[in-house]
Amino acid sequence: MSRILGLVIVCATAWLPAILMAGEPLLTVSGSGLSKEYDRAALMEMGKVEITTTTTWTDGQQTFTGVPLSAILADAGVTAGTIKATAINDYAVAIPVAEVLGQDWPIVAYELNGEEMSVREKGPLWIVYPYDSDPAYRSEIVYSRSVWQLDRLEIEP
Amino acid sequence: MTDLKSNPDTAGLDRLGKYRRLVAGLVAFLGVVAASLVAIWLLSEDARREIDKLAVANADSTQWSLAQFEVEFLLYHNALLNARQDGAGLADVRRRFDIFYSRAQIVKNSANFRDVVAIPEIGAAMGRVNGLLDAAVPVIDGGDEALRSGIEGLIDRVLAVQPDIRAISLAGVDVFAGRSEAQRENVARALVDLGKLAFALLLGLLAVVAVLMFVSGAARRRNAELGLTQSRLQAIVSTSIDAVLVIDRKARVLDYNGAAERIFGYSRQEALGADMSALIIPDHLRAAHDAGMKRYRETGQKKVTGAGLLQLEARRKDGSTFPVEFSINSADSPEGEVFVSYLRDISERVASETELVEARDRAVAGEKAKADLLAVMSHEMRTPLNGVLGTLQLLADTDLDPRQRAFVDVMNTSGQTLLDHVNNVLDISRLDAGKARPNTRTFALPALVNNIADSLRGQADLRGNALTVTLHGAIADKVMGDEPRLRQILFNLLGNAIKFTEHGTITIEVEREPGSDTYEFRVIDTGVGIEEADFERIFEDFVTLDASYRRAVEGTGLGLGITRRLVHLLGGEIGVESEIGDGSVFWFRLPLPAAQQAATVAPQKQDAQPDAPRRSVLVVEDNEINRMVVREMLLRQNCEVTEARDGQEGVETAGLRPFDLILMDISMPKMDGTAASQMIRSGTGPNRETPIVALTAHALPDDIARFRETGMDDVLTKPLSRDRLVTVLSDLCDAPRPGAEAEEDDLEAILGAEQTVIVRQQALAELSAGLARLEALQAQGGAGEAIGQLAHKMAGTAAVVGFAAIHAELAALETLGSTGTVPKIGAAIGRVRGLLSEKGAS
Repeated sequence: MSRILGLVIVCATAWLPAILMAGEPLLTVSGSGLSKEYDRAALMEMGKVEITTTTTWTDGQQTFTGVPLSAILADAGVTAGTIKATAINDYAVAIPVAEVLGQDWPIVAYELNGEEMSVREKGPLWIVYPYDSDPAYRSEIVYSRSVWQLDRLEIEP
Repeated sequence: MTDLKSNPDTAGLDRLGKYRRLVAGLVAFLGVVAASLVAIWLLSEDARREIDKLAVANADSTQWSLAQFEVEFLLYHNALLNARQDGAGLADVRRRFDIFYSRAQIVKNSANFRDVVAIPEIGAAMGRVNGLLDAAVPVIDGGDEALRSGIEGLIDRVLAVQPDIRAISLAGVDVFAGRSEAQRENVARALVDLGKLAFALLLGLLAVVAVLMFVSGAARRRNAELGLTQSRLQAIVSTSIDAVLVIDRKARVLDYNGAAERIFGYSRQEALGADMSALIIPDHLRAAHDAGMKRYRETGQKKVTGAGLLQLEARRKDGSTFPVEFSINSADSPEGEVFVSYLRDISERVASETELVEARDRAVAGEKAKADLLAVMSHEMRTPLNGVLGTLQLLADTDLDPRQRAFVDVMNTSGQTLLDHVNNVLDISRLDAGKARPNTRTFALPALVNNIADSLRGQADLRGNALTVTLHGAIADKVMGDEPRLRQILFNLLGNAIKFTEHGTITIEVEREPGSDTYEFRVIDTGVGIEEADFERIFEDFVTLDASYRRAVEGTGLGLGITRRLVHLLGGEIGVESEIGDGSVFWFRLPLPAAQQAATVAPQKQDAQPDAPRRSVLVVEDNEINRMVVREMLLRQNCEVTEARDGQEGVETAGLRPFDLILMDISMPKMDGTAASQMIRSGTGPNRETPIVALTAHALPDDIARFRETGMDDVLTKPLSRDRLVTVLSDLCDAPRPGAEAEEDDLEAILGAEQTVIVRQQALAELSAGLARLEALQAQGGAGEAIGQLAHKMAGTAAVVGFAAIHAELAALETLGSTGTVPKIGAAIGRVRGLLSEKGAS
């Protein structure tokens, strides 16, 4: 297993220059025999959905722009299992794929108020639900899944 | 027994009221329950919301965030320390700074931490942390070299704010602990509220259960009471002596008690469910009954129901019918309207009523027979009395010395009084029938009283009584009144006084009441007297006071009864005062107006009324003289007279033309008056409706009734009185009647003196011829019937011309003709001969 993983890393390293050219990867989707990286342009290509809402972490109305998580899963060919969404500070939460597939929400936001988010501003990516639209989105579980400073999704069977 | 309610209306109202109250109560109860449910739901919502609040992570894992704040601060501190030690790891410093920076922004901006930051010391601490961050940004972003050289400074700042970070963390723990506490309290409060309401609802439900239990208990008690009432009612019905039937609207028997079984003969099993009409209604009433039931079903109109006690016939099982008394009423029952009827067999009562009615009828008939007998007896007494008087008359005509003549006078007076008496007894039926009228004439009152006293003085002397007359006041010499009846009254009272007094005094007092025409007569004796208790009774018929009196005196007991009738007839009053042993006073008062002139005949003697309508009268009479007299009378009343000689001729004549009046003799050859009247009445002739008046010499009440039955309207008795004739004419021909009051049969007044002489002579001639034929018939050995017929014809003649004595004799002979013995007939003929010779007949 570790050998295969090593091989994957070697191959990825071999392609690194091409990737750099294409832009710094913001999100890594891995696990279950796949490994994909998405830069800002790739994410922006997949979709652009806006959510304007307040959040428990910020002050006032915020407008998030991003791509539905379901779209990313579809792009990555994920149909089952559990997503382990992990932030830069290694905060991680499990999201069942079944709860995301075919849903509009959540989105993986790449812009806040029309601007890219720096790590200092909880970027580069943020899993966001439309919290104001439904009390169901103001639950403990939803808040825990709203991962900010997101940088990788690991798919577990 | 069907369930009955005594008063359906009230019961209905009660029921309706209860129903309304029940519905209102139910609605109120449902309202309370609904309100409670709503309240519970609202409270549940509230509690759920509070619990939801617990579930909603307002705090995001707020505690965790705070913990991370400190952790990430320490990681940043650690990264700085590592970089200072080996000069590498700058990238890690930057990452840790960014992460800490983000976390600090969250603590600074997030609403969750606003309460914490609002605490002044914490606000200050937060300000210092921000100061650290803001100061570090240029160093962090300033390139590796600048960072490497600025690390020491960054570490110093970190160490400076370390207590602040700690303080913020601890404050957060406090605030969040308090917030959780408040949240829990809210939940608890909501749950307590919910519990309270649920408890209240439970209490309400318990109350409802209690009410329902009470209601059901009341219903059970009421049911028990109803059951008792029911059984009591059942007992009443089953022990009732009257039959009780309950039927429904279709007349089917619903209930039938023991008395009904006994009365009608059907058993209860037979009767229940059967059609009442077929069961107990007799055939002849069934159609009416069914029609009544049908009418009631269609229109609701009740005739028998609720009408109280009624009487009808009912039928038993064996088909016999019997009278019942019943009442019927309707009532409500669960099966709809029913009729309850009580029936009582009243056969025995009806039978006894019938018996009573028959007994009464028999008594009345007996009374009538007695009255008739009395009348006939009196009538029969008259005949020999007439003989005595006639013979006395003959005796008076012979040579008598003064003493003998005085005896004859007394005998004559007494005989005359006796005849009046008999006549008056005969009149009792007329008096009682209200037909008698006073015969008012002028007479000398003092002379009358003295005369009566004289005639009775002999009797009084015999018993040792003195008889005196006392006249008080201004007594008129001549007064207007009914002399014979006054004479009879006085005679009766004096006779009684003499009978009941021995060796005493009898006084007749007459007193005119001052200023009036009323006279009071008093007959005072010193005899045995009468008890006060008997004052009223003695005036009744056939009353004699006691055995001792009856032994002492003889009498019919009629005297005072007749006397009272007579006094009343004459418009007076009578009474008695008496003391046992002291004697009696019988008094009476009569109006006796003084006569204007001494010898006037009644002034209303005008003949034909000039303006009287001309009436056509048919006279059917076989006696020529009678015909003539009647004709003359009628002509003077402005009538047109047609004559017929017997019944047959009368019927024929009546068939030819209409008449206003028909006068019909009764006894006639060929066809008698009753048969002729019946033929005229039953035929189709023009006189079918004409009044017919019977002419007859003497008529008993029964005869008169018989005449009326055959269709005659009135009866005129011979001798004909002008006044009666005028009355009949005006009554029956509907014309004004002349104001004649006095009955006056004086033939002279009608026909005039000359004509009267002629008529009387003719009559005498006819009567003499008749007498000869009578004697011839008698000599031949006397066919009684022929003698009777001849006597009748002759009696009619005698009556018309006013030969009263001869008429009476002949009338008696007529009766004797059919029933009498040969010697009696002979005697009667002899008396007629005597009377005729007295009249100067040849």
